[in-house]
Formats: sequence, structure tokens, C-alpha cells
Amino acid sequence: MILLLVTASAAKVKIRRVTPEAEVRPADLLLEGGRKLTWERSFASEREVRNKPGFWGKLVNVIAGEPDFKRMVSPYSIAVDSKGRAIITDPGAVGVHVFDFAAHKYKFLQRRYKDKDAMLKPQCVAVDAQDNIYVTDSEAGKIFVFDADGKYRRVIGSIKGGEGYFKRPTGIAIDSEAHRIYVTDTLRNQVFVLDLNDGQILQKIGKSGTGEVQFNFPTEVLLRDQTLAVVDAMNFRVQFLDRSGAFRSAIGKLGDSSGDMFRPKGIAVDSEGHYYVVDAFYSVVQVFDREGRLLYYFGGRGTGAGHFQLPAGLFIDREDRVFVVDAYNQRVQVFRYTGITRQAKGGQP
Amino acid sequence: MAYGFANTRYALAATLLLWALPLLGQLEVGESSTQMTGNVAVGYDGSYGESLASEHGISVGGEAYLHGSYYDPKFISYDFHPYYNRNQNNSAYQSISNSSGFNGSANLFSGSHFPGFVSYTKNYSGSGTFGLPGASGLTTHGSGQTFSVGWSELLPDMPTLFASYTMTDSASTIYGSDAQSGSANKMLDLHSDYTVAGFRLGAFFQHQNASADIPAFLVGQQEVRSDTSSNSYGVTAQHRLPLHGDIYGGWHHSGYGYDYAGGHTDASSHTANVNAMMRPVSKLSLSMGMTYTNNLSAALVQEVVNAGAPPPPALSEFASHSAQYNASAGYTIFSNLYVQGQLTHWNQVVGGRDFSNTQYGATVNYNMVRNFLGNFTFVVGVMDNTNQEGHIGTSLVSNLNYSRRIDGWDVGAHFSYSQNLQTLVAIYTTSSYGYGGTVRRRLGYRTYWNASFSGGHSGLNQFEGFSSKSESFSSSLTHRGYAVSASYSNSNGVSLFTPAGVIQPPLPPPVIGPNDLILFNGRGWSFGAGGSPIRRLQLTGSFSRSLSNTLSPTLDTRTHTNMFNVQARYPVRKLYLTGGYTRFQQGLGSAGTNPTDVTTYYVGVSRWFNFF
Repeated sequence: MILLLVTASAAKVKIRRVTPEAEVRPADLLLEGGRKLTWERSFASEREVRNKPGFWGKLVNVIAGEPDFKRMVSPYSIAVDSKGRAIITDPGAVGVHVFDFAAHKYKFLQRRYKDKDAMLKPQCVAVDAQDNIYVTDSEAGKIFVFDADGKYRRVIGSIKGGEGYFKRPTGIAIDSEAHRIYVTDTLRNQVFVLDLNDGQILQKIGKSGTGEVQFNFPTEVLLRDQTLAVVDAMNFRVQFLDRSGAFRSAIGKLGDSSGDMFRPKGIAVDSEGHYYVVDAFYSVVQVFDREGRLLYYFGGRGTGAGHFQLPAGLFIDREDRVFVVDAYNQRVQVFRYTGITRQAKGGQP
Repeated sequence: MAYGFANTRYALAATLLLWALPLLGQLEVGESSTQMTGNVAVGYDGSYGESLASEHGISVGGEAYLHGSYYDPKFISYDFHPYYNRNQNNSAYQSISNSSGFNGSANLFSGSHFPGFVSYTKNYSGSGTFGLPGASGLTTHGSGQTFSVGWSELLPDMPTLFASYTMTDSASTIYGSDAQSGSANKMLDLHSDYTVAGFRLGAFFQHQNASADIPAFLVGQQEVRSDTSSNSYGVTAQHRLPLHGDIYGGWHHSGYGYDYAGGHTDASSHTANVNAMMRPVSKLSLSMGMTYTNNLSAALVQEVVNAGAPPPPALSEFASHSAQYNASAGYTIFSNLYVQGQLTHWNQVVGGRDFSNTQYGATVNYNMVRNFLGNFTFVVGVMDNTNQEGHIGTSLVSNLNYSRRIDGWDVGAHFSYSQNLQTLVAIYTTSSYGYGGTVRRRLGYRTYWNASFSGGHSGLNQFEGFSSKSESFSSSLTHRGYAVSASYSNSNGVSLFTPAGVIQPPLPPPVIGPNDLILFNGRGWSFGAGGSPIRRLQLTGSFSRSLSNTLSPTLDTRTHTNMFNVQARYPVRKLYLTGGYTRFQQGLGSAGTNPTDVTTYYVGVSRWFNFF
């Protein structure tokens, strides 16, 4: 006991507080036409959602210690629902984080220890119009469905014996109007189109190869208006298809120049129709226009604010907030894009 | 075991101060990087039993882990762990009594050409074990400390040097006896290597002093003190040969002095050996070598002394020397089939009598992996033995291992057998066999069962009754967060008494005199269970019982040890509510000893801190 105190006292003499690198806010990225990209914040754990404790809460914290806040282990994919809740899959924690910053609430969805239909490796996530949460499980080969309150509702793709129908389901997109689910099966090199209500397979899009509507490990899918964007990872490109699966265009090629891709991961689109594609190897997010021209990129390898290490998932909400899952840094970084549309609505140029 | 309220006031004040430390946040001390965690516990404990007065009261305990580095981990890194009042009722420590102490170590300049280390451990009132073959051993109670320091010189293209010095001492009492035993050991170790002109040269020196105080009831007479001093030093040289070969030569001196029960004995020996190996083609390897010892008796006796037992006087009186010549050739027929032929000749002179033995034979190694048959390996060897009087028998060595998965069952088995195997001394041959198996099965989701058993028997062909055998069985079943386990073991045979316990004799009779050997018979079984009936609550319990008896001309014991322990832990944030109960009984069954029967309990709360 005496040793503890002596050690602690000695430590106090030369103590200086260390400012974490992550707290240094990066400068805004000023873009053409008065557009800009602003770093807003990052979050990594349940602690950042919860209300600050009051007097009694602080007293309890002093006596019993702070609660063990759940934190991200190896986050991968993100979706934001209509209430602004950030839903993040975490294969490392074998569950899904739900951050509700408006209500200061946090939930962790998991089905790890279930006898039947256990969730083993939650990979990608999407939400429908009712804020139901759809999670692909790349190891179990299934899609798990939770309602807006986080209650487990059903599983899609579970066949007799409990095995999953899909070989490795990864990317997922929901078309609530047409009652469709789009899922990439990375090992089958196909995009499956499922009925939203009963999970029946309606269509299979693509096959192995390097040509049009041919895939080499498709990992992510995004549905925007009438366009289906598929991240064709090992062909180092993004293919744009129509809803029936017909080829429209593609962007990206293998290389180490700006606009090239090496490990494309998450994809999202902003209010101006610009496509954002994460490249995990270069630790950047590249932004393309509708014609596939590179507009700009942001990020870079590092641990500070605005830098990434193995970024993966990407989501842009209706407020043009860009959520980037910074997987190796175990956090999500949030940027805000202020474009022409937003400026017209009164946003700052 | 229990503490008064006066001492508690200071402890509580210290606890409050420690609570303030987390407020300091993430810290950096000068150019050092230090992290410290720990816990402080306050509780109510008590003890009672047939052989001690009842005690109870408030107790305070805890421990801390401090580790870090100064400037850079390659410059100075350190690790300190003080603990206070830890036992199996209030923590994960396995001590029956309240144990306190300190473990600390530091590495200095580990990134330089002159790295060093220093470490120190000190333990007060901890539990230990006096070993018994086939049983879990007798529980002891005592204190001890170890200090060691070492330094290296690793300059490029220069001879390297490693020097270390270690001191240990301990004192303990076997529960059930008032007599105290103690031991102390000091050791200096020097090593050096140097590579020059293709020769890899080495030299070493080791000096050791050891002493032990052995209580009377263990040796059947009055308390005895033993003192041992030993020196060994030597040189080695190695050089590459053509045809992917190596030649190795070495010489070393070994000497000891031993004082025991008023007597003194000392001896020394020199041993030289040379070995050469070649691999003319990738599938063929050839080797040959020889070893010469100028005092075989001293070398054998020192094996006994190093094991901690008194030196047998029988061999010390004889002048002796030994020479051994060996040659072997191995050939890889297929990637999974290897054959080896070998020839070994011993020539030993003990007390003016010549003993010689020639052994030649072959071994086959085979390894098979097939999906439908599993993994199967075996080694079998046959060797023939002749001595100065003619053919004396054939030796057989075999070893089989098998494992495979059969319809959800993971099974494995092994068996080894050796007969008439020539040992160190040319006039002795041994036979032994061992067997065992494991089985594991998944019974359901997160439900597993496994079981294993093993056994062995060894003995000397020439001496009826000089044998030992042992068997053990264990099984466990886990289901979700629950687990139960059970084990059983037994063994019997001959053994040798040392201050640390009763051990299997390292050498056969008559190297060890019949009066020094102890007949033993031990068996023990245990049960354990653990689980979490409600969220976060952890319950564990165990019961073990061991029985043994020893018989020798000077010592006759019938020991029994029973231990029952249950513990419950419930975490609330950084607080842990802990309760524990232990019932311990031990009896030695020898003259002048009384059985111990102790019951202890604890209820308390501990707080974990991440200080900085």
C-alpha cells in the first residue's frame, strides 16, 4: 500500500497532460464553387453517446468506477436510419452497435450464443423505410433482420440444418418501394435480388469474370434512384447497373495514381450525385462525378482526425454528413459536405 | 489472519487517496511511459479450527501492477507487482493463508551491446507444496525470496560474455507439523561464445552453493542440515566439415563437496567428447563420436546430488572410468519413412572390474496421414546387446501415436514400449511402457465433453521390486458458461527423499543404496465446478483429497490432505463483491505431528483502479 502511494506521488511531480492526436481538428477542405468538406467529429464507444453524469452519477462513478462502455473492436460497415441513428457492424465484437446521439442511447445487437441461427460475423448493414435493420453475416451465410427497436425478427437464407444459403454475403442494399433486397455474394461473384417480405430469390445478377456484369469478389452494393452500384473489388472498379442488372457504366482501374483503385470498399453518394469510394489500401475516400471523373479525395494514412487506417464502410445521410468507418483506428469519423444544393438551402458556402 | 480496526483506519485513508488517482487522467512522467493498475479490497474474514484459536475481523488487501519504460523500452523497462493479503478466498491466488509479497524486474539497455536485467521476488506467508509422487503433495506454509542479476556483453566480432548471479532462500512448514525446513541457494553462471576462423568456440563456468535444513520428522532422526558446493567449467569447439557436416568437441570438469549429518564427501570428474556428422546426400546422414569420463562414480553421484538427495556412499569409494563409442547411419527412403542403423560400445571400469557392452540395431520411423484413417505415426527399433560374457539379450523400442475424428468424436491414443534398453551404466538394462488416450466430443451447441487417461510403468530387469507405476484419469464437461471436472491419479514404487519432496530416483541401485530408497504409494482425486447461474455472478468450487504413505528404514508416514474451497464473485462496474470459504485438513501420520484442521471465510468488496 505504501509502495502504491509512493509510486503515485512520485509520478505526480513530473506529470504533464498529453493531448491525444485525435483531438486536433483538421482544416476544412475547400472545393470548387464554394463547396467544402468539414470534419465534424469522431466516435468510438458508448461513452460518447451517454449523457454526462450529474452529481449522483459522478459520485457513483467515483465509488464504483465508470461502467464498462462498449467500444468498437473492428468496425466494418455503417448505415444511418431516418432518426439519425448510426448503425455499425463490428465483426470483431460479433455484434452491431446502434448509436442514437439525439436520444443519448446506445444498443448492442448480438445473437452470438444462440442455439439456432447465431450471428457469427456481421459484415454489412442497411435499413429499410421502417428503420428495420438488415445485417449480412459473411460466416453464417445469412441475413439477420432486427426491427427499429433492435429486437430480432427473422433470418433470411437459413436452410435446413441451420446452414446459410449464401456462401459469403457481404454488401446489402434495400429498395423499400419495390420490396427488394440486393446482396452481394462475394464467393459466388453474384448479386442476389431477394423479396423483402419472404426472402425468396427473385434474380441473380452477374457471374465470374472481368467483363460487363461480371464480377471478381463483389463486396459492396449501393442503390440510388434507378442505379445499382456494385464494388467489384478484385477487378478494382465500381460497376453501375440498372435495377434489372443491365450494365450502364464503370469507374476505376488498378493503379497507384489518383482515381485508381487497389482495395475499394464502401461506397456512398451525396446530394449532388457524387460517388464516394473508400480505398482501404491508400486510406483515402475518392470522390467521382457521375461520369466517373475524379473530383477530389480526402484522408490519408494516420491516426489523427481526418486520417484513416484501413477505412471500410461509408454512408452519407440526408444532411450530407459523410460517415467513414475507420476500421483499424476503431472509430467512425464524420464529415459534412456543404455543396451547392445545401448552400441554396441556406448553408454556409 | 484478521486485523483490528486501528490498522484499518490507515488502510482506509490510503484507499481514499488511491481513489483520487484516476482523476489524473492519461499521464506521462518525464520521458517515461508508465501504466499502473490494481485493486484495493476491504472485507471481513475469519478463521477457526481444532488446532488454532478463532480469529475474525476487518481485513484490507490488494495488489498493483506497474509496468513501463524510461525513455524507450530498449533503454530501461520495468515491471512491478506488489500484493498484500491475497488468498484463495478473496482472490485468484491459491494460497490458503494471507499471502503478501512483491515481484519486480527490470531490463536495462536491452537494445545495446551490454543488456542486463535485475529481478527480485519476495513472498511472505504463502502456500507451497512438498511433492509426493502420485498425489497432489503436502501443503506447506512459509516465506521466500529470490534475487537475480545478469549482464551480457555482445560486441560484434568479439567474444560474447553472459554473467548472472542468483540467490534464493526459503523457509516453510508443512501443515500438520511445527518443524520448519529451509533452503538457500546461490549460483554464479558465466558463458562465453566466440567465432573465429570458422570455429565456434564456447566456454562456461558455474559455481553453486546450496544448503537445506530438514526437519526431524522427515528424516526420522534429529534435524539435519546439508551443504552442497559444486563447480563446473568447460570449453567447446565446433567447425563445419565438407559434405554438409559438422564436428563438435568439448571438455568439462565437474566437482562437488557435500556435508550432511556431520559427514563430508567430495569428488570431481572430467569428461571429454567429440562428435562428427556428415550428410553426403540429402537422404543420407552419418555420424560418429566418443565420450570419455575419468571418474564415472563421481559423475553418477553428482546426478543424485543435483536432484537434492544425499550422495550414495557406495560408488564413491571406487575408482572408475568410462568410454563410449557410437556410430549411426540414417536414410530417408520416402518422405514419411526413415530408417536408422546404430552401433554403440561401452567400456567401463569400476573398482578394478571391466564391464563392456556392445549394442547394435536399427529403428524405423513411419508417419502416415490419411483423411479416412487419421494421423498415424510409429517408431520401432530393435537392438542386440552383448557384453564381455557374450550375448545378453535383444532390446526393443517402439512408439505409436494415433489420432483421428470418427463421426464427431476426436480420439487420440499413444503407446510406448521399451525392453532391455541399455542405460548409462553398462551393467543395467531397463524396461518400461506407457500408454494413454484422449477423447473429445461436441454434445451440442457450446457443450463439450472430454476425457483423458494415461499410465506408465518402469523398472529394472535385474532388480525385482525396483519399479514404479502410475495412472491418471481426468474428464470435464462444459455447457455454455458451466463446467464440471474430475480427476483421479495413483502411483506407487520406489522414491528418493529430498528437501523439496519425494522424487523418482534419478539412478538405480546400487548407485543409490537400499537404505536411501523410500517405498511410496499415493493416490488422489479431485472435483471442480464453476458457472454463472445469473448474469455476471461467477461461482467456483473444488474439492481435492490425496492419500499417501511412505515406508523406509527411517521414515514411515501416512499422509492425508483434504481441501474444499468455494468462491463467489459479482462485479458491479469496477467493484467486485467477493465471498469465499475454505476447509483444509492435513495429517502426516508420523511421530511428533498433529493433524491440521482449518476453516477460513471471507466476505468483502474490492475496487479495481486504472491509476495511470
